[in-house]
Amino acid sequence: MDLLIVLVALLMVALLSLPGFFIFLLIADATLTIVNRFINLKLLQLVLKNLQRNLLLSSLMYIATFVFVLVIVGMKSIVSFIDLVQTEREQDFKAIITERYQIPSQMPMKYDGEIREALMKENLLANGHDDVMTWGFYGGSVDPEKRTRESIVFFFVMEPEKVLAKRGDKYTSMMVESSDEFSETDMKEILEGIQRMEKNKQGVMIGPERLAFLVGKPKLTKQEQKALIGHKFKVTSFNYRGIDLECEVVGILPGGRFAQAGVMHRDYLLQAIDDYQRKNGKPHELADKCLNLVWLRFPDKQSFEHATAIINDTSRFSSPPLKMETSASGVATFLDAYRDLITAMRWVSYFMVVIMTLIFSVGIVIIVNGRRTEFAVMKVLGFQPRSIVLMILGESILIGVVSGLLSAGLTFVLVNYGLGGLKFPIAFFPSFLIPKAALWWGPAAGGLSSFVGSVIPAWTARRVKAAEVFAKVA
Amino acid sequence: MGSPIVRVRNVCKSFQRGSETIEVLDHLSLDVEKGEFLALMGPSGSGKTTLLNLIAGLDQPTSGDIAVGDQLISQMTESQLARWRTRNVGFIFQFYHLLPVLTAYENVELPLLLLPMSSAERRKQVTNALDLVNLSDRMSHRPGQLSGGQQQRVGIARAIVTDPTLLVADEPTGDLDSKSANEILELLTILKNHLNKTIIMVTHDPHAAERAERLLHLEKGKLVGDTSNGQAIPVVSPVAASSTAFRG
Repeated sequence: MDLLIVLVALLMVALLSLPGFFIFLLIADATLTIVNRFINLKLLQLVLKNLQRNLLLSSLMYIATFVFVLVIVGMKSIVSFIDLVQTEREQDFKAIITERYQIPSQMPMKYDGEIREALMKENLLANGHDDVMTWGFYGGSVDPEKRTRESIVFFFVMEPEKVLAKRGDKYTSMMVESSDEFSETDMKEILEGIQRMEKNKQGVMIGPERLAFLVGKPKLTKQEQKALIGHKFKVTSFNYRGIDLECEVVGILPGGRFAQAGVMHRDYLLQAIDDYQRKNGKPHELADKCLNLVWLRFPDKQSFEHATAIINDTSRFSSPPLKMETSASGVATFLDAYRDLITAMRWVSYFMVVIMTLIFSVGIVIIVNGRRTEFAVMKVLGFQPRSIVLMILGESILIGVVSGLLSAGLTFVLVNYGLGGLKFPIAFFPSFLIPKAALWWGPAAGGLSSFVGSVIPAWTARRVKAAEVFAKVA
Repeated sequence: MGSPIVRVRNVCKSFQRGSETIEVLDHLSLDVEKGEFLALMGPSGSGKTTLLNLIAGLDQPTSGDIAVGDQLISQMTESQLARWRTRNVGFIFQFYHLLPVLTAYENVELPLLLLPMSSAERRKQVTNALDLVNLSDRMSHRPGQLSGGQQQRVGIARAIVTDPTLLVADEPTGDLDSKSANEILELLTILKNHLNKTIIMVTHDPHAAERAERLLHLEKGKLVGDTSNGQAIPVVSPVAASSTAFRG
């Protein structure tokens, strides 16, 4: 049933975008009419006009391409992100330090300073403290009586500036692979939120979906989200029992994989742990275990290997001993359980390109068969066979590329800005944003399928013999 | 008589249908003078359209030679023929065969796109051709908005727009009522008389054939009659033809 709804929704989006395709054809046709006064692009204009002659066939080919490209872009966005986080880099790559023998990893906070000191002493961190990020995890419920999907909140306890910082003209982030994942508006809002967190340690930044749950709504508009800045709530913790924290929303995280996450200032939790000891006369049970992960960024492999030797040195870090691995390796281990699903998605994408190619092939065969006489006339007028091949390829590729571009563009806008990401929970990634690269994946997939699908029919058309066609007609 | 513009010598054309070989033209020879209006008649299957296609460079003979002007077209490759047709032949079809997505102006302009011409030159040629067929007021109409006679006139404008040496017409009045047919024939006569075009027309219609100054009869792939202005002239003999073939 869900699949049916998705299919109907995809078809609806394709149908709604169809006028866009024909408007494009009309605008391009009108533009070429003007351009043709200066340069001879009449054949290209003929291609555009030909696409307007059989509206049903052109529409069907457009819709089929649109839907397939949409699905391919969605799947490739997920698969390529998963690939990206598992790819071992040669330069500028991340590593994770965890407790060697225990899951979940729980390390004393003093390790943070010791690790930084040890690595900086050897000049292994190119950007100093900017290359280190610590994570603690604080989870709880806003309803002390019960834990429901709506009432649960989860925070990364960290230094806020590690989400995003501006150094000169450049943005730097340890949270994402590249600051390109954020739009200009996102970055501006994140930086404003971080500034507020630095002033107000109780301040938290929170993803739009989680925020909506907290106020009992299924979804919030951008304006409603902004209006909730200043909203206060109390969290009854699951893991830090007895440390229930008052929080104030000071910023909104972007959608996508941060849609349900939250970021809390590290100093706030540490202060609360100290307060707990003062109040109860004994330290909290997690006081020496509040550092869960340390992320590091290295400029090259040599620095990483050197750092690994230091971190793995049990005489230096013995209680508890530590393990360091590249983030790609760490994520890959975690994603092992999903390997079959990811492989299947990869193959389904390829399969869809093949189906799309076959659809183009059938469509162009219909076009060629219906216009044999016309091709013969063009040959009589002196058009070379290659001009006919180019004309047919042009018609096919134009549908493929324009449909692919519109499909990828709409997917990018609708998923990223409308839905806040593609909901497809895999491991610790609840949803995925469509990357900017999808804006060329769509036209490339559409263009490639249309080209491959129309090569043989176009070749058949070039072999049309005018004498035979007219002998039959006469 | 001047030197012929079309010289057909000893031409045979056969088609293969399964294991059967069908002889369509059988050692046919023919001369057509420059500025001549020639009609080809004969029963169905006599080889009229095949001969027309060979002269227009749409097909190649199985044997024999065809020359138009000083070009031996029977030995040209397909792409050489395509280039040659653009400049030298205008083709008028029975069913007009205009491109439905293009206006009358654009249909006439189509062959000119293959020639190195500026936009202004193309515009001038197209306007002249449409003026000549008296369709200046229908330039922006698409074929679907024109009558059969008007479509055929656009077809004629398209055929003459490149100022070709030779006009070939395959039953140009076959799909028209008698009034429109007369208009088309009148137009062809004007093209012959005023522009000195050489016209070869296949027709089944004796009234259309009457407009031509020379009438050829084909039967079973052979030339069986050749009358010029009502007077019979001897059919070119294959032997004599081959001995004098392409001497000048």
